[in-house]
Amino acid sequence: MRCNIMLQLVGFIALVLLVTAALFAWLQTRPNSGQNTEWEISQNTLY
Amino acid sequence: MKSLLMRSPIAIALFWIGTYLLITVLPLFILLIYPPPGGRRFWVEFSVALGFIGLAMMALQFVITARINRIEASYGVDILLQFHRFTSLTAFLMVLIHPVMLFIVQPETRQLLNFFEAPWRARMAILGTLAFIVMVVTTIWRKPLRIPYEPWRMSHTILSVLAVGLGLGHALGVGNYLSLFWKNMLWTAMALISLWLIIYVRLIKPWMMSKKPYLVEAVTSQRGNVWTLALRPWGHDGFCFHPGQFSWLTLDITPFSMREHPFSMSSNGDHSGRIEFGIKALGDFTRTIKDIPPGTKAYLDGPYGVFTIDRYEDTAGFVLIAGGIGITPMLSMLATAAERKDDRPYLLIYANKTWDSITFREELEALEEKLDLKIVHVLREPPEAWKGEQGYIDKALLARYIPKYKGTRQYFICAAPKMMEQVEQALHNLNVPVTQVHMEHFNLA
Ligand SMILES: Cc1cc2nc3c(=O)[nH]c(=O)nc-3n(C[C@H](O)[C@H](O)[C@H](O)COP(=O)(O)OP(=O)(O)OC[C@H]3O[C@@H](n4cnc5c(N)ncnc54)[C@H](O)[C@@H]3O)c2cc1C
Repeated sequence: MRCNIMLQLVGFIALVLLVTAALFAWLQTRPNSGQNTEWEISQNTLY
Repeated sequence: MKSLLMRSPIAIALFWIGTYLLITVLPLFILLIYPPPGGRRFWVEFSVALGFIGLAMMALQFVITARINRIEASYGVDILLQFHRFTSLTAFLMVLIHPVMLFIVQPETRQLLNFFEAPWRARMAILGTLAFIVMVVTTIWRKPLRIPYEPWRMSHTILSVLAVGLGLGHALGVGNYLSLFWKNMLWTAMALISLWLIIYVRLIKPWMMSKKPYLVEAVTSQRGNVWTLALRPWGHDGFCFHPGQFSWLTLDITPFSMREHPFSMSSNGDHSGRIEFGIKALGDFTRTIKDIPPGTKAYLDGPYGVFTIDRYEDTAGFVLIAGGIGITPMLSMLATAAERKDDRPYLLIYANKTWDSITFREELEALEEKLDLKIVHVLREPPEAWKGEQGYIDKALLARYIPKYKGTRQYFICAAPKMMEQVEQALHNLNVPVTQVHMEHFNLA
C-alpha cells in the first residue's frame, strides 16, 4: 500500500513536471512573447 | 510548529513535495530570465525542458540519498529510497524522451548519434545517457545479474557522478540556455553541491567516523542463528539513540572502504557506553560475525531512522509486530521503556518458525515482569502441546489482540517483506489509521 501511495505521489510529481515543461515551451514559443530577448536588452542598455 | 508537523504527516509530506518541486523547476524558470531568442518549435523547447528537469532531478538524487538527518527524520531511509527509485526512473524517462523527441521533430539531429563525428557536447550526451542506462539496468536487475551488493554500490556512485557530470557538460556545451555566465554558474553550482554531498558521504563522513572507533566487547550466540555483537566506544562517549533506530556498521576494515551494513541497535537507547546489535547469519558478511574476536575495531555511522516509540510520547500504548530478526528494534524499545519505567501498555506479536528458534525469548520474558507487556508468540511449526497462536499473522489473529479503540495505539512492524505487506494490509482492513502504522524494511535493495 505504501508502495502504491508512493507510486501515486511520484506519478503526480511527474505530471506537474510535464506540465511545467509544457508551460516553459509555451512561454518560449508563443508568437508575441513581449519579453526582452538578450539582444533587445543589450540594445536597451546601449541606448 | 514542530509538534504540528509531528502530528500531521500530511503537512510534512506537502512541505517536502513542495520543496522538491520548487528545487526541480526553479532552475528551469530562471533560464527564462533574459531568454535566448526564441523561434524554435514547441516540441523542441518541450524536449529541452524535459532534459533540464531530468538533469535537476538527477542532481537532487544526491541530496535524497546523502543520509541527511533532517530529511530522513521525517520519513526514514526506506521511504526515501523508494522515492529515490521512482523519481530516478522518472528522470530516466525524461532524459530518454529528450533526444527521442528531437530526433522526431528535427530529423537532422539524428546525425549527432554518430559518435565519432559528433561534436563533444553530443558525445557527452551519449556517454551520460549510456551511464544512466547501465546504472538503471544494474540496479533493477542486480540480483538476476548476480552483482554483489558492494561492487554494485561502488559502481552506482561512479555511474551517477558520470551521468550528472556529462549531462551538465552537454547542457553547457549546447549553451543555448546556459550562455549567460550566471546561468552557467547556477547550474554548475547545483552539480557541485551534488558532488560535494558524494564527497561528504564517501570521504568526510568516513574520516570523522575513523576518529571515533569502537571495540568489539563480546559476541554471544542467541536462539535462531543470531549473534549479539556488543561494542564499546573507544576514546569517546559513544551515542544515545531513540530505541528502534539503526546504524551503519563497519567491522575490522577502514571506514573508507564503503563496506558498511545497516543494523538496528538491540540495546537500551539510553546507554551510550555499550551498544548491541542482534545479527542474523544470513549472508556473506553476517555469517562472519560469530568469528569476530573481542577487541576488533568497529565504526558506526548513526543513529538513523524514525522507527521509534520516542516520536509518539502522547500515545496511549504500542503494538509491536515482529517476525524473526525483526525483533531487534522491538527489543531495544522494550528494554528502554522498561528502564524508563514507562507505564503504557505494550503488545508484542512475535512470529517465528519454532519455539526454540525464538530470538531473545528469555530476555523478552524478563521484560514482561518490568513492563506492562503482553507477548503473543505465533509459531509456524509449533510443538505438539502448543496452545498458543500458530500459522501466520493475519487479520483474524490481529483482531483478537489489538485494542478496541485502535487509534489509541501506534503500530510498529518489522519482519520479512512479505509478512510486513500482509500485516500492513490486515491492519488497514481493521481500520487502523495508515499514519499510525510504522515499518522498518531490513531489505533495502
Ligand atoms: C534499517 C535496517 C536495519 C537492519 N537491522 C538488522 C538487524 O537488526 N539484524 C540483522 O540481522 N539484520 C538487519 N538488517 C539487515 C542487514 O543489514 C543485512 O542482512 C545485511 O546487510 C546483509 O549482509 P550480508 O553480506 O550478510 O548478506 P548478503 O547475502 O551479502 O546480502 C543479502 C542482502 O542484504 C542486503 N545488503 C547486503 N549488504 C548490504 C549493505 N552493505 N547495506 C545494505 N544492504 C545490504 C542486500 O539486499 C543483499 O541482497 C537491517 C537492515 C536495514 C536496512
